[in-house]
Amino acid sequence: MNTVSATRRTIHELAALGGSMLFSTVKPIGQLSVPDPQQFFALLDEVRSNGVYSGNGPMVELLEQRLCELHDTRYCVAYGNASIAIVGLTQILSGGRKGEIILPAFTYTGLPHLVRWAGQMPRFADVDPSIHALSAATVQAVIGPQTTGILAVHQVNAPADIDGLTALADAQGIPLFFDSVHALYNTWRGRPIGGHGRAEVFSLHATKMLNGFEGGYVTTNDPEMDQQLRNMRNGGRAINGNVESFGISGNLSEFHAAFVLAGIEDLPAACGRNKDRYERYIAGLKNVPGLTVFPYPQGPERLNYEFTLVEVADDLPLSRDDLLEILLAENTRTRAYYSPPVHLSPHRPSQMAAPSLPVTEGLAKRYLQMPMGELVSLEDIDQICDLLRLVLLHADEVAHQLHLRRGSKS
Amino acid sequence: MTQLLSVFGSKPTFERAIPVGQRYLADPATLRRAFEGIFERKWFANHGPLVQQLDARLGEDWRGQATCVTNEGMAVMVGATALRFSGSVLAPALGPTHLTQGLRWAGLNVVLCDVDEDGWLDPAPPEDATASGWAISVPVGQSIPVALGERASAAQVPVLWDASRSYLSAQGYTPLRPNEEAVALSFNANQVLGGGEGGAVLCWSDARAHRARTARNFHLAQTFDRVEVRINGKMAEAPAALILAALDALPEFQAHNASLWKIASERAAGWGIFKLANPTGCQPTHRESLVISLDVEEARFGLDALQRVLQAEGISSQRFDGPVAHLASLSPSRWGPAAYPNAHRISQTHLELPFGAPVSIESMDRICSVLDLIQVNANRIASRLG
Repeated sequence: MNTVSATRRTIHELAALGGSMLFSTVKPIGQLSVPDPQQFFALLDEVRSNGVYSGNGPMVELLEQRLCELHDTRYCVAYGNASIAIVGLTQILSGGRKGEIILPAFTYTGLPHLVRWAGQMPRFADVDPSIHALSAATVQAVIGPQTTGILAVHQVNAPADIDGLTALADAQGIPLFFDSVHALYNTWRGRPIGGHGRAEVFSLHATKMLNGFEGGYVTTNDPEMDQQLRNMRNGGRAINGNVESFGISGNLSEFHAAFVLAGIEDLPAACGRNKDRYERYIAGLKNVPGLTVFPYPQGPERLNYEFTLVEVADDLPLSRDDLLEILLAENTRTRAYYSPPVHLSPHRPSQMAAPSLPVTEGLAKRYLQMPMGELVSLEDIDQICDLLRLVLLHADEVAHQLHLRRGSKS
Repeated sequence: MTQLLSVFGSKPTFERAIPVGQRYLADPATLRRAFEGIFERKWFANHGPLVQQLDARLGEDWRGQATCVTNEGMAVMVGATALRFSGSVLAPALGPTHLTQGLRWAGLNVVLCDVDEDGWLDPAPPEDATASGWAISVPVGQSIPVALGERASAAQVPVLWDASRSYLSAQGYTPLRPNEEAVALSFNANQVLGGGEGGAVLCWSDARAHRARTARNFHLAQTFDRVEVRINGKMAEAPAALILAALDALPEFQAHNASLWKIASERAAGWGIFKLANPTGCQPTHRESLVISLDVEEARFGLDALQRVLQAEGISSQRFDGPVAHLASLSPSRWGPAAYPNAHRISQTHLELPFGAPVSIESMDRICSVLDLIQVNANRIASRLG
């Protein structure tokens, strides 16, 4: 992973100001784990020998068992990807009734689109500032007779308000389900995320904690939901082989399942390596004024440390977006964290209401999502932190030079 | 005839059931090299180089623009989005389940039409003023006919051709109206080009291709048009690797299928209650399935009994009534023999049998022998199981 070029000594060496890139290979924000190839090839041989390549074959069955153990749930149903799983699950839970799904806007761009595919209208609720996620109070403010479901998103640093939302959903008779993609491996009150609400959805995308190239799955403790999810992913085909209900093409292939199985044992170690990266950022940015690494909670809970978020003070000469421009130019995939928020995205479905969500909008201006995962070494992080220190030490001059370059480009 | 069928107590012909579906894979060394390349690049998803290569190769082979997606259902969803279908769409009462379901996921009202005797959409009324488009399932092994395209053109509606079961025969298609037609493909393991799962949408204009490529993802850098509702429908590098390798090995797969077909067609000459479905004009190397029809009146038993007999012999079979049952469950009042007589007849008489990689030459011979035996024992089957 020796991809680091010379450390920046002067601001004129910054790539954003015309210098060469700090990294010769891209530094992503996700996990991109590679399992032991020999283990994968052994499983690939097994797939070939089984002669079953899709449609709930032996590898998918084994993967579902392993994921049930990981999440301490009774059931797990694998899907072609997490988007298809959310679309199918939303359809099941709304029972064909047209209405609104309550969801946060402080999340990824695609979520309201998935709700629309399921024939529902997204209804955004604000998030609780302490957890960056939906709470009973924020959902209560928008709940109504047209509500067909609550789709809460667990954040990497904290789960949604599970107790409050569960009580509210039960009281109102509204199904509650979770997008738990960034809470894989995390625990809440000592038990793995995965068994809350009617069901929880996880991703097996390469940039997530378990790499299946692509893929997703749903966990639940409800036997009826398990059967509905299985029928749904198989085009509505029931155990007897007949198509008995509306369904979706949602099968995960055996090749994807084999790839996950080849790497699943490494999950705890991968989370440990993420923790090392996160702590390296803390150490590297400790004395950099205006930058604060958003802290993971201390305590007994298990965490995946998937993201490192850096809060940028709003009184610096350089904005969060200036720093983003600088880091992107150095060949990193640094992101403005959930910015713009989904309800203000130019790519949101146009028929949705875009309410004022002050907490969400405030959070969306604050954070940088830093390079993380298996393609980012501790030395890379040192380089990034050194670069940010240099930039902020000369913040006025960097701001001036960026301004000049933008002017000359325009 | 002294030989017994397993259903009457004899040993099954195959100890391990032979599945329906082609299930071809390229050789292990080729796949290993392809996967090692992925591991080295560490580019597993999100418009990776193999997906780009597959998009380009399919585009070249079909003389259009390809957008690879997660699976065949996604191909329909993205294809309908690319063609701007809205409101009602005509679709066949007999066709792959993913077609009608994909259209419904796209928010469309599916108006069913009967099929003709060959399984083609028979749009009635053909100039349905409420339909914003036609979704036409290409029967297995058939090429896309210009005549039906002309009818759609006269009706001034865009057409989504679902060629999930007829990749080889449909491939030479040249659209009459490049901006008004698209093709949905399947790379499910059961098709001749298998990626485990996978699909693609073929378009012939920049405008439609831009919409398809935008619809399949949420990425800003992969946004080429304003598309109202998008989805993660991207194909990953693993299926792309499998399909690219399968494309290279396709002549070998086709040759095997042609050999299997030759055996079946020769043996079919002696059948009375069965008929081998033989798509008009299908070239020997373009066979993608083995479908028989049962003369129910002559046999005096139906597909249920036939499937039971075959299953006992370790021969899987697949009916064409999945969509029928699905549609019946959605709209029981509209479904029935009178509503879609041809679709109903085909669903009650046609059966797909094993074909492709799971079937050796010797196995095909034995499958045909079982069919011979069923024919000889037809009276007994009719009285015991019919």
